[in-house]
Amino acid sequence: MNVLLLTTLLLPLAGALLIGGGRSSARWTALAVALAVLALAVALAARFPGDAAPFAATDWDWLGWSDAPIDVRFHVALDGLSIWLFALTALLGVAAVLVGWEAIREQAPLYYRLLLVLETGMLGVFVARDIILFYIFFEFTLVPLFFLIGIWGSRQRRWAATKFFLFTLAGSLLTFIGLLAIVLWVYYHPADGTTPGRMTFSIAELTASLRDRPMDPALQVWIFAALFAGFAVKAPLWPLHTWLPLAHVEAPAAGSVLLAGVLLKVGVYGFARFSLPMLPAAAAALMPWLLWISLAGIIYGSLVALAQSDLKRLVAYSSVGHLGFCTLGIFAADRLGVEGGTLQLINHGLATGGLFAVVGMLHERFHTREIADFGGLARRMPRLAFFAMVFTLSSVALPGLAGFAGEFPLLLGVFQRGWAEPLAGYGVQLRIIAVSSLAGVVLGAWYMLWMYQRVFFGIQCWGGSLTAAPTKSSPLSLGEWRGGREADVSTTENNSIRDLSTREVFCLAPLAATILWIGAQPSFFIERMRPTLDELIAPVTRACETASNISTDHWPLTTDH
Amino acid sequence: MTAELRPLLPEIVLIVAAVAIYIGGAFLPARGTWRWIAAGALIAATVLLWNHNPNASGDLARYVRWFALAAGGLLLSLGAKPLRFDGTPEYVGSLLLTVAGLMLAAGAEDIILLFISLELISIPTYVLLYLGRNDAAAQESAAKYFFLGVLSSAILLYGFSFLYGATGSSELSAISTASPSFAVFARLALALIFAGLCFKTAAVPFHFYAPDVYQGTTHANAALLSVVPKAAGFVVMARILVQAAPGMEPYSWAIVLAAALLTMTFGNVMALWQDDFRRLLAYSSIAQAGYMLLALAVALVPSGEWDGLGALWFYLTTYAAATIGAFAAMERLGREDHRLDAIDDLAGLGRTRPATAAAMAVCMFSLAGIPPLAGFWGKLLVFGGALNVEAPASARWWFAVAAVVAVLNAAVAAAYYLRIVAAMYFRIPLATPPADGGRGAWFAAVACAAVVVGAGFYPGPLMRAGDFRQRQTPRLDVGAERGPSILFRQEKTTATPTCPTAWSGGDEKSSCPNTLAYCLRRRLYYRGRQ
Repeated sequence: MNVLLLTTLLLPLAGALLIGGGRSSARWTALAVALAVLALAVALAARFPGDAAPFAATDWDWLGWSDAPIDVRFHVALDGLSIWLFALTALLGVAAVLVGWEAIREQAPLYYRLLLVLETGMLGVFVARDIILFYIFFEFTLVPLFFLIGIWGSRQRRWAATKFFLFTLAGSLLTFIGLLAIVLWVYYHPADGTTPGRMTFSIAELTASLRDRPMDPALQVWIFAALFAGFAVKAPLWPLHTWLPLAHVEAPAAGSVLLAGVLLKVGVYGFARFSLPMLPAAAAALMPWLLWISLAGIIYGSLVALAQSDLKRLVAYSSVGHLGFCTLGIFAADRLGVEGGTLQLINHGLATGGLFAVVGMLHERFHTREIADFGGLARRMPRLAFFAMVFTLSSVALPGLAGFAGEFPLLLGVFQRGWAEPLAGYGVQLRIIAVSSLAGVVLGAWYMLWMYQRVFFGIQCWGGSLTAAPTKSSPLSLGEWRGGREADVSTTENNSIRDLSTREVFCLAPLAATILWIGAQPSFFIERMRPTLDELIAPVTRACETASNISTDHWPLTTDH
Repeated sequence: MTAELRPLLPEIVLIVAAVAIYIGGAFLPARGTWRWIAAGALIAATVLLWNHNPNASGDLARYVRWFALAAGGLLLSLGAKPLRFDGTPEYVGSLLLTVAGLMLAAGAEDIILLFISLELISIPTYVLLYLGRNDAAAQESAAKYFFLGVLSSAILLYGFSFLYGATGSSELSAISTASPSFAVFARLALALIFAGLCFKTAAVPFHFYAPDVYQGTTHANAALLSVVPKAAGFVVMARILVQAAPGMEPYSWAIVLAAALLTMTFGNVMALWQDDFRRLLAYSSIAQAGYMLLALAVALVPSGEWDGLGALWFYLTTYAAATIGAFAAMERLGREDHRLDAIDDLAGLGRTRPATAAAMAVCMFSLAGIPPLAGFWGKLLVFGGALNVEAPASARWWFAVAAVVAVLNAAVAAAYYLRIVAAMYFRIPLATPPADGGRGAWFAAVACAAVVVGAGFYPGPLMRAGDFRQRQTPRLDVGAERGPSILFRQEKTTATPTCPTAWSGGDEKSSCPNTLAYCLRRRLYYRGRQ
């Protein structure tokens, strides 16, 4: 098993080194590698036993030196939190290779090389079980994506790539300090309580050690803030999201798919892997704040998405809203909420990744992303419309599709936190948050379905058959249309309005099928995550109970554990 | 040859070869010959060092000597071709002398020899700066470096004289065990020595020469200036502040830490506005000196498992590799009569010269500290050390704050390193660079990039080579208030100050010498109790 995991992890890297020659051989090699990775990941997921123990672990000494000041190890394994994210990465890896199949013409070998390197980085984030190894993968994913956005992006690509890199780097360096502080604290508080023992960087050992001997709550808040800086930028949570729309819009289609599908999850994964289990008192004390921030992200992201005239930008802002839901569930630290939030990560990856792929395909055909330029596509492109429908409906959490399977338990968990097991002194706040988050669901349905209606239904505005103004939505786009966009679109007509090719169907169909599967049988996925998640949130649940047991006017920070 | 001189054979070979090249160059100014003779001298020195008895000199000396030879080889290779006029013999001779000077500085046990070895680095660099170019900017840079260099040497020597006056000895081993008769002079000595060495390392506020000098000279000279004097400065700082002046730590760590924070912040912020490649790398080298000073400050206080000096040597080596690699890539892109200066000259390099662009990008990412390259591990060691400082109590908060400042600085630094990468890969090529800088420069660039990548994926051996904790005499304890680092609140132990461990054999009053550190600690202790 562990050989299988190592192969899955390193295969894309090896593939990146092998790629060479022309565009055709490069993309076929990349596709073969991505498919092999997917097959291996599926094999791993199929054999995953579904308990909390690390699965397929490999633990190598990295520095090769016994009395090193730091004992960094190459330690990888899977568990319930990471298994589906791992599989999602492999699945989206195939989609990412296919989505740029025709669009990427310049420097294609370099493009596919970077794509595969990025895949190794993303897989590595989820399997790393050493804190430094995690950080290495965490930060390394920036480099290939920086190049993907900067070289193959659209007009503002240089600014977008730099802003994305610097924003994320600044946050993650603070995370780095926080992670080091955790390691050092554990080092100075060994089990026997006397002399500092071995300095461990193993995530499992650190979690276990901090579960038995939690930190001073005031210190926890500081370290939580340091970790938050990196994870919240990556996720992105509300005030720190400004890099996201720019990076998403400017990135090539594959970059957007992977950025939305996988890289945003890394931030939330960090919260679930480090912040909650290692710093439970801080997570409990800061819970109302964290939930307010998540709620702000949901409402703000949805409202801004409503106002967008650019299709890709709309999907990008919808990510801010959806990730707000994920963190809402996870920060509520209720069992249902965390399960729903984690499942919602997968669902968002599938649905939004799919939507970005759809936007990329539309852009390839029409060379525009303005919603106003589209209309009535469903009649001429039924297959594309079908897939877009699946992704859209999953995004708005239609029962029977994946989005509902994640969002429903997630919201249940938040309500649970508000009513059944409220945090002392914050009951009212938590209830307000829980109720307001429902507004996000409504808003989400509004902008998503409205977008779908404007793009796929209504008057056909392509080709020579344009019979009416393309939109009633905004005067600006009407003006643009009058200013000659009609001619632009019609010149690219006839030959470019074609429905999905077989390649594109293969790109989207696995995502849609997985969405249907999760929607039909969510228990299959949740059951395999449950033991790990229970173990991860046990400390924070306990911290919440402790906080609730003392009098209501007591600030939880002062409680002593 | 006497047995005493045998350990010095590598340096002797280098100096003899340099003198021979200087004299022979007057008669036979051929370019290739002297280059190969210099390379032969470096190889001979390497062989002699290889056969050298490891116990005859300290661990630090051995590490720095290998470092100097490797850097010398890369610099020789880097500067092999584009010498505009027939200055090759002088150039390679001066290069060999600076390498010998760095090797001597690591091994010198006497402050007089230490000073001479530093001058052996300085004086040839004055010559080198005149050799590279002969336009107005070059004249300005050489004059600026010369006058400031002489001034800093004077300050350093003045500090050495106070050190001698305070301790009565010029030998480092004697200084380290002496009880200073005038504490004020000892402090003054250390302040002056640190100031003089800050010039060598280009640390704020003695950095002013660096941008102008780098901009006004060649890539090869800039590479040499950013590696050899800086390495020598840190080696001597470590030897005097950490090893030879025990008991001064409570006084010196604060100065070094302040200089570190100022240096890194100033260098990083100023680098953001630069358009000239060498000027940008000059500010980068100032900023990187700041991180190394932070490592030195960590070495001055107890920091548990994380060894400040080990971090310093690792950081220095990875910095040197990345910097030489970057200059070598630039050198390779130019031609004898066409040097690339501006960052704009790099536009579109990813398409026109992909291999050189890749080498440059690797070096830039390493300088920025992006994993999994060598620079990341350097930053890990430095930041970890700063967070792990154990004592004294007042230092812990300062070091924790310093770690955060350093981390934010690293984010700022990424902005200008990325600018170079972005210019190479994201911009349209304006013109294809000639890339006729010689195979030597190409070799240096590839070798440096390989070191950076190799040490990134497998940093263990290099970390181990620079870690002398187990093999070195233990440093004296700074204070009684030793405890875990500041992040981690624990009850403060307030034991009465005891003798430094070296003398803790008998009764305190009779056998404990009245060292400066001891007096200081007692005074602090009693003041604290009132």
